[in-house]
Amino acid sequence: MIRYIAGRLLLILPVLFGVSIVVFMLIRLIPGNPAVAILGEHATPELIARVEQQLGLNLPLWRQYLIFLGHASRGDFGASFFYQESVFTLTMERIPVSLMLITYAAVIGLLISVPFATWAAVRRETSVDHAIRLVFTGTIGIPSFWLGIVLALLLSVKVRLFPLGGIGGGGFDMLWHLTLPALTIAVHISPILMRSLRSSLIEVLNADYVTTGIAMGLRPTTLLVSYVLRNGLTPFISVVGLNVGWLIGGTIIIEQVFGVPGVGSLLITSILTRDYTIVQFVTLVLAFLVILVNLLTDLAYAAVDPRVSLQR
Amino acid sequence: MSAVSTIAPPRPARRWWFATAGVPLRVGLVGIFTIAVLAALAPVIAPYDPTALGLAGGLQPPSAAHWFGTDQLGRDILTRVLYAARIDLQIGTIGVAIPLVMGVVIGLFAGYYASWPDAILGRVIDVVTAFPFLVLVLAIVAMLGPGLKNFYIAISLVSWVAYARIVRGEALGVRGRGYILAARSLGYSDARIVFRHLLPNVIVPALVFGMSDFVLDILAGASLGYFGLGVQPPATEWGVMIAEGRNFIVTAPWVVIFPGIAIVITSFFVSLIGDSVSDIVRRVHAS
Repeated sequence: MIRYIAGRLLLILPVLFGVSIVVFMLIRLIPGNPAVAILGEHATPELIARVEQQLGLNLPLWRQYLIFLGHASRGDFGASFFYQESVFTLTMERIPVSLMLITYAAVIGLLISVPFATWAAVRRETSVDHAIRLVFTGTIGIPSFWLGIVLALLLSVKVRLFPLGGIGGGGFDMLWHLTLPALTIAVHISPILMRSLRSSLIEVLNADYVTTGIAMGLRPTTLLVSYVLRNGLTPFISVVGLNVGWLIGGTIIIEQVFGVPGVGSLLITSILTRDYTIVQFVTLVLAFLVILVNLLTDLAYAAVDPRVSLQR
Repeated sequence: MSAVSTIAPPRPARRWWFATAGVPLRVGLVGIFTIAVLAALAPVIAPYDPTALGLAGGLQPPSAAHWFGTDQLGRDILTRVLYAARIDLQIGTIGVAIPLVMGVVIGLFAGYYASWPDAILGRVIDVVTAFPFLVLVLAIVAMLGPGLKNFYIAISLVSWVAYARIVRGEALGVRGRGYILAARSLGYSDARIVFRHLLPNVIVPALVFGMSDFVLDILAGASLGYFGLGVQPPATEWGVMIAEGRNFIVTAPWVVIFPGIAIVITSFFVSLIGDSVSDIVRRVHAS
């Protein structure tokens, strides 16, 4: 297992290198002088010169990149112009809330998609299957920010079932506050999860061992839970991992809509206030998160499925 | 031989392909065609001027005069939804077309040559897919500045990778086939082999993906519009309309509801087409 993890980590290194180049280049995309853009048009020439020096803007690109890497290795990703604080601290403070929201949304997404996918797969090519697929096809195109507003209107303003915005005081109160945003994100990701799970369950339902199980007279529940779901859910682990980017995208928008103080709302606010160093760092952190989740799902898949050789 | 020709079954009567297509595909095609026609004819069929202020007062509920009601500035929402459709369909189309061309060309050559061009593309794909799609688009727009042109640049920089990945995979599988080897041995140029022989055999999966990408682009465009980073006033777009009306959601929900329904319906029709075409392709491959 250690060899497998080491192998996987080794494969990640070139990706991390590429990610760092993309993030480094981001600020260089700013039209005109990035130092002026970062500090604002009213910045003094001394301040501009200081930021230019910090970013190494007057040096060749490769030297600038080395300076960026040098700062990054010390956890120095610059300071926010708007908050007057280190972007590292600002982002890390908000990460737990975002992770909690992402996890909560993933759980609700599974609670929605697993039963419907199972129902559709068992009743494949019947009206039930068609109806479920049709509804989820319609769900794909719902803009998450619009759904968030509509759900807030219905479940917070009209019915007063959930609080509107904020994260509450921690523990159960926090979960209660995050339910509506998490539900919105879950609806956003559930079509992808439902489709993938349905396909993998249909594949399992067509397998010989299921036919044998039916011929042996196994109870339908036993067959479904012990044979079909167990084997159908395994490839599903990688589907969840592969779609973490989609999940994060939804979270970013919804955090801003519901005023959840996570990295997503920090990113959107920073874009609007042109706080470039935060945008750069949050982008880096979210890419790291995707890489990490993909690594973890690979490991989980290898651990769960005995056919995946851990030595590979 | 003549016996064979006499017993050969009569050629089936040619049926218009549309009639033989499945119901979802037909519904999707008719639906998206209708939306496109409505959008194209917006200046003719829209009941009011999209920027005319103070029509019948602000925040009027739906009525015979204003089917979708009016917004906070008294503008007719139906008119604005129709005009916004022009931009949203443009977002979907350009958001697919540019990355599709870029990705297909790069994927074709990488898959055809394999070796180091493919290795480089493989690493680029790994890197770009490490970023959540919307995050990278937002970050690029943040740096370039808000506006539709910058949104297209951002989408092009990010989305081409998905097409390149699909085409490269297909091309790697096809490059060793007999007809490619035959074309090489006939001394055809690489460009001719790639565009005339390889392209027609690998393009379909990329086109199918383009359907779901169309939906993704409309949603991304609307999301950026919602945050004020996409289309800039006085032009309008469904996401911008939702953003403008969000503060009135409790007293005048129609301001937000109708543009949202427009996005959902458009995406639904495109998804129906995409799913149906994808099913057809899968069936053809399986057979």
